Amino acid sequence: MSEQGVAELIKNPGFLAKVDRLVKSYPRPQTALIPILHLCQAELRHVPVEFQAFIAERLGLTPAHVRGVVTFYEMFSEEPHGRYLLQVCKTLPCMLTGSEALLEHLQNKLGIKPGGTTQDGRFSLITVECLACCDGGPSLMVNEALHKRVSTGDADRILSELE
Amino acid sequence: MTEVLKLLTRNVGKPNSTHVDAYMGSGGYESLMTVLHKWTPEQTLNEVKAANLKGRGGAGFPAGLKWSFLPKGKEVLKYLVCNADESEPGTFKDRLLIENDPHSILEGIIIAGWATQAAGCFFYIRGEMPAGARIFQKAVDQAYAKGFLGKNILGSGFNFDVWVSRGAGAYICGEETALMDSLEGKRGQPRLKPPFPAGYGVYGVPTNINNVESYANVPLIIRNGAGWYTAIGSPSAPGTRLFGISGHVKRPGVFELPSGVTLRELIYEHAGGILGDRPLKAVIPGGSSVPVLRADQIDVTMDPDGLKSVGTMVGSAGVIVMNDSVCMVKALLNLMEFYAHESCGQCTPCREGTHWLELIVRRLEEGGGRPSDCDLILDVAGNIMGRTICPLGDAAAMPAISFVQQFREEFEAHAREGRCPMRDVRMTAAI
Ligand SMILES: Cc1cc2nc3c(=O)[nH]c(=O)nc-3n(C[C@H](O)[C@H](O)[C@H](O)COP(=O)(O)O)c2cc1C
Ligand code: SF4
Ligand code: FES
Repeated sequence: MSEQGVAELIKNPGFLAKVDRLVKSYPRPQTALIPILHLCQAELRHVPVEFQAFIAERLGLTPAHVRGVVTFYEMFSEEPHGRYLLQVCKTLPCMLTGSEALLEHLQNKLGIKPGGTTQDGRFSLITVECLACCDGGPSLMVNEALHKRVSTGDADRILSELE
Repeated sequence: MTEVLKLLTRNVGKPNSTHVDAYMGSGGYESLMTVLHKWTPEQTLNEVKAANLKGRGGAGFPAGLKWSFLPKGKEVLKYLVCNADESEPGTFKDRLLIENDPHSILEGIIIAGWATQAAGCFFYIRGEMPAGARIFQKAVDQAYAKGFLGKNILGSGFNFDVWVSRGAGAYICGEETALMDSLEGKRGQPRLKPPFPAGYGVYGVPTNINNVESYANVPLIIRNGAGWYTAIGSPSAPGTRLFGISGHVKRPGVFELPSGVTLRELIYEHAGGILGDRPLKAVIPGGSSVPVLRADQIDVTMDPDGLKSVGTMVGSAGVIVMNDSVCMVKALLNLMEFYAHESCGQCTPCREGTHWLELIVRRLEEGGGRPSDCDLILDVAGNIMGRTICPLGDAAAMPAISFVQQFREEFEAHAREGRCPMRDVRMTAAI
């Protein structure tokens, strides 16, 4: 499935226009690499090696360089994650305010450990480092939406509102 | 009680605060007009220098002085960087400005561009703030539309661009040279210094980097003058600070206060006291990387001199409060996991040392600790200090050393009893 997704993506004129715009928007094209990887991650929920090869050629970089970048940054993954990426902040301020109970609750509810994806492909669960909203701990990010002061009840409600 | 000041936070909570028209409605961009029309770049730089504006990203270096390290003249290509990576655990003040008042940051950046005659600024924002990146990009687009960015700004002949770029989840990319490598589409690994960014920065071009809050102070300094600015807060670090307070307090949040406020007042007055009405146990006063304080050390001013007197630092002004339900070994373990995970791996003392620290603290917490472990932690941490390319090594070592020094008896009890003495204590939660 992922291969087909990539093949389509790198032929999609709308997507290619976005890539071109990013390449032109910085003083040097290489600065566009990470923003373009974000585009791919958002579209495919991962950055497959086929895409890495495509963008390497486009920017005049080696595939090995691009792979080094993809594997360095936490927000890029080579394996697709679920439709909803649940990111539980586990760093000290959030731990002090209840992140351990939140994480345990999500693990039990979804039957997966951090790093896992539910069988239906809807949810992936990961722990993340401080999200810069420590006054709202425990904090939970679901894809791009940040939720603050998330009790186990709040977590149930947030999940039930997702399709 | 020291009054909360609304200088940097003047627009927070106002309707439409992120829109250029609202910003201009309350005097926004007037400082930029003043410098472009009336002041030379040197005058502008000198005013910021005279204000003794200290960097708000963690190290507290004087901003004006740093600007003056760049080569002079507009013939020399130069860049600015705005560090919006905000990843230091316990720090969440830049988010407040980015999401509520992007134009105040942008105006500061453009004024800094004028003072240094730079060609443009990279705004590097952490990947986990997608909303902030969109808000800031919109502000940039509005500023271009109003003629505050681009060619011949307000008829002054000055050209200046801003490029927004996102990180992708790596604490180390907050370190200035790792950030620059990241901007070049690379893995974010700190560079060996010298050369310093002022000589060799993004793409090898001379570059100045400042924190979000540092830039946001600049329009205020221009508008009111260096004399006004230095009269606020402590002489050693003038102005206000955005103190972020989190953990076991009743009212966590960002409080804008003069830099000389005491830590006790910040915790008990502004933040409403301790969650669960339990005794205070420990405070990390400046983001996770600075030495921890005990409850009896909070009668100090939140400025470099005050915190130095108790062996710690202001750092990023992120105050993490812990009440007596917290096991200090467990708290340190959390921090050591963080640093071991975030070490970029290029220096052996940091890569190996952070890993060992995590391992030793974990075995103490989990019941397999040895009587010699306290000294071992001090030894391993001591061997990281000062032996690495970037300050992340020190940032991991300082909490380790201070936790053991300040709470040694608790660490020793873990080894002696072969288990966590606090395992049955329920940690106070906020929810
Ligand atoms: C590991 C590490 C992480 C850092 N993270 C940040 C950060 O997230 N934001 C920031 O402004 N400065 C951060 N810094 C400090 C920067 O390297 C740099 O000193 C700062 O951006 C300079 O700006 P200032 O002089 O205005 O404070 C970090 C430093 C280190 C060593
Ligand atoms: S001190 Fe650590 S994070 Fe910094 S360059 Fe060395 S290995 Fe990387
Ligand atoms: S520790 Fe969770 S947001 Fe900072």
